[in-house]
Amino acid sequence: MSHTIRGDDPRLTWQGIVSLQKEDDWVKPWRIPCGQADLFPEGVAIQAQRPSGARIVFRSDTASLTGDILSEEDDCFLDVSSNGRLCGTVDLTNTPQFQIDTLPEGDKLIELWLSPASPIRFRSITLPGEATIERFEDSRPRWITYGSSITQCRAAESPSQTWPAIVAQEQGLNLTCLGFGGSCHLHPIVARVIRDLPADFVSICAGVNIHGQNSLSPRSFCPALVGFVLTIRERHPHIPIVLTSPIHSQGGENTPNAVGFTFAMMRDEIATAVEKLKTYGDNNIQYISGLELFGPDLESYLSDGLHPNAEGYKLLGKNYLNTVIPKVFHHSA
Amino acid sequence: MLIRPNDPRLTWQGIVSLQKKDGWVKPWRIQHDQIGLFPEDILLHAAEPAGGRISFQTDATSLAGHIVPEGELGLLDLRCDGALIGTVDLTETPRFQFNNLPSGMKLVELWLPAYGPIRVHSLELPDESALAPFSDTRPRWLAYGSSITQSGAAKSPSHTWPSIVARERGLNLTCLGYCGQCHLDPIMARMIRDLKADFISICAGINIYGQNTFSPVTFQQALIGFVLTIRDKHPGTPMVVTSPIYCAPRETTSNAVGLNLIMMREEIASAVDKLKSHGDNNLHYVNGLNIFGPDLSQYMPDQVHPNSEGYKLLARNYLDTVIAQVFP
Repeated sequence: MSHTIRGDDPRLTWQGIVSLQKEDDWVKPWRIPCGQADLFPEGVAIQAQRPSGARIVFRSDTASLTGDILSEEDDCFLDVSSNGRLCGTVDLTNTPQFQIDTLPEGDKLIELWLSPASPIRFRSITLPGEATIERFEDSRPRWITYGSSITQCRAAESPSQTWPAIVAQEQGLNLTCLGFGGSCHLHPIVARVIRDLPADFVSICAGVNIHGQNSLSPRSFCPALVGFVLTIRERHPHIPIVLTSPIHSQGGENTPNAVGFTFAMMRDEIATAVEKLKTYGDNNIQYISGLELFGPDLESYLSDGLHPNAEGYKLLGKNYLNTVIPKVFHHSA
Repeated sequence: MLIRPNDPRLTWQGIVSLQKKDGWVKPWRIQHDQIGLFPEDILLHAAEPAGGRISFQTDATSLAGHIVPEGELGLLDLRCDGALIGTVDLTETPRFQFNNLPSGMKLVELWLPAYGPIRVHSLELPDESALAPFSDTRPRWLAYGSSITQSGAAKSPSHTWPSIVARERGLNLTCLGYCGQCHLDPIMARMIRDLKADFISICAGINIYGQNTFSPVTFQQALIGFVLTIRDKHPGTPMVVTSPIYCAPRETTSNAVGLNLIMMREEIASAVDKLKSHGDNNLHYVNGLNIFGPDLSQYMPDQVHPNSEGYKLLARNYLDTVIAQVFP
């Protein structure tokens, strides 16, 4: 005898997602409210189906589990961890059925880290008949991190090794990753999503897509950023918010785009936005230059001059832990 | 009888805030106490009180005042019970006097300059005159737009197209048209959200095209975000979004980020459709070409802005096309 657990089973906790699309035989995690997807920009709606940073979490004493999770696209890997330690990575790209037999003995927290690259349809997991399964209530601070492909991290070594995942695990944060590849344009509707989610810490890394796609100009970038933060502040008046500027990319630093913007100008604009907000009473907002997190010294860890490779994401995670986290959580380890 | 500009018997209409200094006040069309959060480019035009009025009821037959223009332009209209009594150019006569007010109690409205900031020092009525504030019960209309909504080329302040429409339809106008602006700044949406309103109109696109402010990936979203923010506090208020009026050089020519006015009108219409399909029951789209189309291009000497006659025609079309449909 074994027991099969479906996606909407209350003993499973879906973390790091915004909504769960429920169909007859499967559920699909989204990083935006799926019922409003057509109000969102198409790029965001596509990337939001790729569950970067999301986890299916439960407590169990099982030493093995099997699962049936269908990938919609390629490069669909799943990390299984026990009490925060990685026990295995499975490739779901061509075979939705998987089995893990390497879990340690005894009651533990099991986390299935979902793919940053491919949407999934979760049909079920199955545990041996005698195994326990209990819901996990997460009391860690909630961190929402908004950004581009560099926050989504599809090139990470595996789903639990994106830089936000590394930071969250190390610092003990309940991560919701809102990295949307190619689609971090400070859309007001994304600010509303963040506003409406529970949060203890919000970080925003903006600029690289805005530069690359000429989507906001020197006239509209700072107002978009100010508006983004003010919207979040409507329901999160006091939590720490950190704004970071683009990480190093030779191509963007001093090359004006079609609307005359460079990374260097954008860094000044972001710092200005933070100063304005502070002047008008925001006591818990900070600006940190992306160059402090991933500077020109790490150029060799960029795979295409823009995106860190798997090793680069690990370094970015480490630098974020050393540079940003101590300024936000003053008693951090 | 000298009346200070902060006298409670004066009703300031169509402005958002008053900057009060020793000896004068300055009307603003943004929240002056949050000025640093607004884009710097908007400040000059937000200090121009287009559509703003100082209103009161009096039986005086003469009225004097001391209003100092800060810029080079500054026409002021006096209307009594809606009828135009006279126009003065404050740049020539910051101390002005009207002696031809009709007798008996009446509503006096001083329509403030559509162009050029002003400092209001004082008004003066004959001693013994009755003076009472004006309680305006007409629906409040917030009209957000560009220079075309600010209508600087109108014959005088009460002849901007929003002024004409407001008087004709009986609306209490707040004109939020800012020359060279209207970039759907989120802070403006928040300001509109926080103002009282019975009808809200948005005309967006022409400066976004001209200054490459938003691209095909951000323009529609900026508009959706703008409307959603307003809706946070005005859930059922009639709201109309109009697309740019005719502008020959920009209709089919792409700007630096690949937009043209034809595409922008489609994006605006599509944004409105999406919001309606998600439950917005009182949001309307009106094509700017139905308000001022190519047939009126002879009233547009610089191919962007209507002239004085053009604004009258625009107002007429707005009444027939927008108001009749949205706010009958």
